[in-house]
Amino acid sequence: MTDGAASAVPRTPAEWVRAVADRAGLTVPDVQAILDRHGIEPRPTLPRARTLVMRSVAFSGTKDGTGADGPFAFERMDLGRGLWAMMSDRNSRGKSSVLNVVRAAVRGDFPGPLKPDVWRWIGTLEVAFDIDAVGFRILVEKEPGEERAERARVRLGRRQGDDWIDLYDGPAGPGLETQVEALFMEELGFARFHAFNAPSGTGHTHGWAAISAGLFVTGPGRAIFGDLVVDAMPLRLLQLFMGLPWISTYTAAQTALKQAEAEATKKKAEAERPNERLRERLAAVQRELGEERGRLEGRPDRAALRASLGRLDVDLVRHHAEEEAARARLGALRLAEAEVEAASAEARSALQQLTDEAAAGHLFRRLRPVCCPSCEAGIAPGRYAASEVSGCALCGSVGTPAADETEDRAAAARADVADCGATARRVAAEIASEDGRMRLAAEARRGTEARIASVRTRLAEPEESDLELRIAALEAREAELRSLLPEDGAAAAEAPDVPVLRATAAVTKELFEGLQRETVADLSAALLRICRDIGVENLADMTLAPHGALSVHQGGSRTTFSQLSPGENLRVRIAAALAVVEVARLRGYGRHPGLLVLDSPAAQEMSTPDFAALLARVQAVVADAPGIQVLVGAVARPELTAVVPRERCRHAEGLDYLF
Amino acid sequence: MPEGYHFRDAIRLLFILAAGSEVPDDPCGSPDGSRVFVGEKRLMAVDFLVRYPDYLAHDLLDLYEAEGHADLLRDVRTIFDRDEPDVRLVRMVRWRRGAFQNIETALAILDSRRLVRCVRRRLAPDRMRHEFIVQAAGFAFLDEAVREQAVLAWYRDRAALAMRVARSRSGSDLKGAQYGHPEYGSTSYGATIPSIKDRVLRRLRAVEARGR
Repeated sequence: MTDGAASAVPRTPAEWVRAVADRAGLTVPDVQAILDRHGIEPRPTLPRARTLVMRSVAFSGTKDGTGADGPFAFERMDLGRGLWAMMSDRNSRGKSSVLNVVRAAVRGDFPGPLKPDVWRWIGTLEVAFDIDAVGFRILVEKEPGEERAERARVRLGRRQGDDWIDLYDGPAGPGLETQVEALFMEELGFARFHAFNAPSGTGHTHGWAAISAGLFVTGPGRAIFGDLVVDAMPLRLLQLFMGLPWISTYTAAQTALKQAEAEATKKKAEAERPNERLRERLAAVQRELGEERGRLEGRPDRAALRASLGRLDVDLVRHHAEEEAARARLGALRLAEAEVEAASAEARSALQQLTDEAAAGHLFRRLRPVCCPSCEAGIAPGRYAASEVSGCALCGSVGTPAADETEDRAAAARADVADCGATARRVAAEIASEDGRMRLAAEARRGTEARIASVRTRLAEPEESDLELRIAALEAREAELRSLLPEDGAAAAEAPDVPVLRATAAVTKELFEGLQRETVADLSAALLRICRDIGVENLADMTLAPHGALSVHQGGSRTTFSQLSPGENLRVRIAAALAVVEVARLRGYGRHPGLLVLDSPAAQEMSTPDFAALLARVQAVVADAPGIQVLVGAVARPELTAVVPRERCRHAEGLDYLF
Repeated sequence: MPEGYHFRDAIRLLFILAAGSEVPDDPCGSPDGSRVFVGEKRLMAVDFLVRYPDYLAHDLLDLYEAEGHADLLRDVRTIFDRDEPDVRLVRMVRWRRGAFQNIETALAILDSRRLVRCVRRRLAPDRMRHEFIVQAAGFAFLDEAVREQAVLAWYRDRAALAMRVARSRSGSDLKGAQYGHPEYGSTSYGATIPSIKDRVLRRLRAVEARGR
């Protein structure tokens, strides 16, 4: 039975950490950091087992609402190691209440398991106990009839010589519970159980309330050990009480692993939810971006437009310069044209006047004056005939005839007119040509201006600007959304702690797995034996699986603990409690505090032989383990009185009550 | 014969005097067929219209707008179509009594050939009037001139057109109207009276545009 113990030699903490690091493929410092973060400490050895021994119980008060109202007292009953019994000849005589007082005190929970009427009656209550050699007490004082816990003054004290040092002095309630739990956990060297609750995905711990439940078997229950079936508590309690090295480390690692996995799963789910929204939003943004870009595609590139604007500006300057040059040349030509026109008019006028002058002169010269133009005296007859000279008959002047002179001037004027006409035509042609160039330049300038205006209009179009702004904003939004989304597979990436915790749990489990198997096998054997002894009939086999489930082979068929009858349920629970104590004692490093409270086994139709066998077994356990204290509440039977010395009994005989 | 256009001036004046002449206010009438043109100022005013076709065109447009005869508008259009404000322009100088040119030489040409007799008739002790008696020979001379020198027909026609404006108006009345032109009125003494062809051409176009 103890062969396996040697095979599961605990390694040192340093070796353990290195093994975990090797398994996880990380460095020791990295692994240590993760272990520290999760509060996982290597505990290769177990603290020394401490013992809890109830030293006394007493309470008093005033009954009401009964057939015998009035003051009452459960006189101080000193207790110690070994088997103790609360007996009555009849049921409902206070046995359970006494044991519940003990239980309430051990848990620091008032009224807790106490029946309400009993709690109301109580005025004072004192439970004293030793943890190892240190004495403690719980003292409750309240007005009898007061039901409210907060009206009860409770003092938790530690013996200091002949005095008591109060560790707590206050009302009953959570404060007291916390203080009592802290006391027992600390003094008994227990650590809270790390547990992981899968449905809620949260990790939590179980403390003294759960552990102390393993000390009390007060009737049938859902759990083979203790009160709780959740979080594999029965197995945990068994492991704790039987004492397995590394078990607390393993428990912490396993809890942390489950919690980390749950958190990773939760985070992944949480990450996926927003990721899903982000992806939907990203898709929407991309759709919108595509639409807006599509709208933009139908329009010229604004950058190209701006570039063309530069080119058009250059063109505009060139066309403008060309136009202005042509205009300047045209202006000069216009001036020349005007001058030519003036000259032409002058020449034509001169020609006209000379022509007229010549024509008139031709006529007038044929008429000889008949009088002197000056004095109007008549011209003497024969004057013209007598004067056959080349000169004028009147004035006698000699020279170029006026008619010839006029003709010469007319010819010159005619030439001037011709010159002016030719010049005018040449200037007109030049003007037409230059005007054409100017018009072309002007047309090109206006065209360029129109294109520039068009480009500027398009560049300034609010809708288009808005479109570009919208596209820019959408692109920025897209980039932002992309940055928010993890890379493919990143969301599914495992939290870095998980592999380390998994490795920790695996490595640690290997350290005690073999021992656990052996211990559980021993426990199963003890359980089967005790169950058979105390009257669980037709048992062929009873196996406690490593995970804590009890497989029962009974009457040719397999069943489970939960399917047992209430009587069998209680027997198995008692058997389990006894087996734990027994196996722990046998293996030498159990951590059971040594207190066992068994209440009213007779209520479950236990036959006399079975009851006798039960007590014999209890007695055997107590005998084999001197440090054990068993408090039994039962209907008084000879089998009980035979094994429990009278001084260790409080017996309500006949119709009496224990208080 | 001094330099100048004396024969042109003489025949222009003769056409004007002929066109503006009338039967003498004489109980005996005019047995020799002569007619009289009254007033030197009037002669100068009508001569101004013949020498400045643009001013004549302006007055013809006034007449057209007043009477509505379409031939007046056509005549104005012809004046501009033939560039007469340039080609037929014979400039005058603004003097104290308006446009002036010494016409003595031209009148001497006419008088010495017994085509026109220039007389000064005393209407009152302090009032004299220039009268130009166009002799029958003068009318015959003009007929012959037009036949022999067709180019001179322009003067006949132009004198007749100018007389449509002048009619029986006095010289003072005509001068006063001519002073009403800003270009004429603002011309300083001794300066050449400027052309108003551009302004009248714009008016003609406007009148033509309204008539379409």
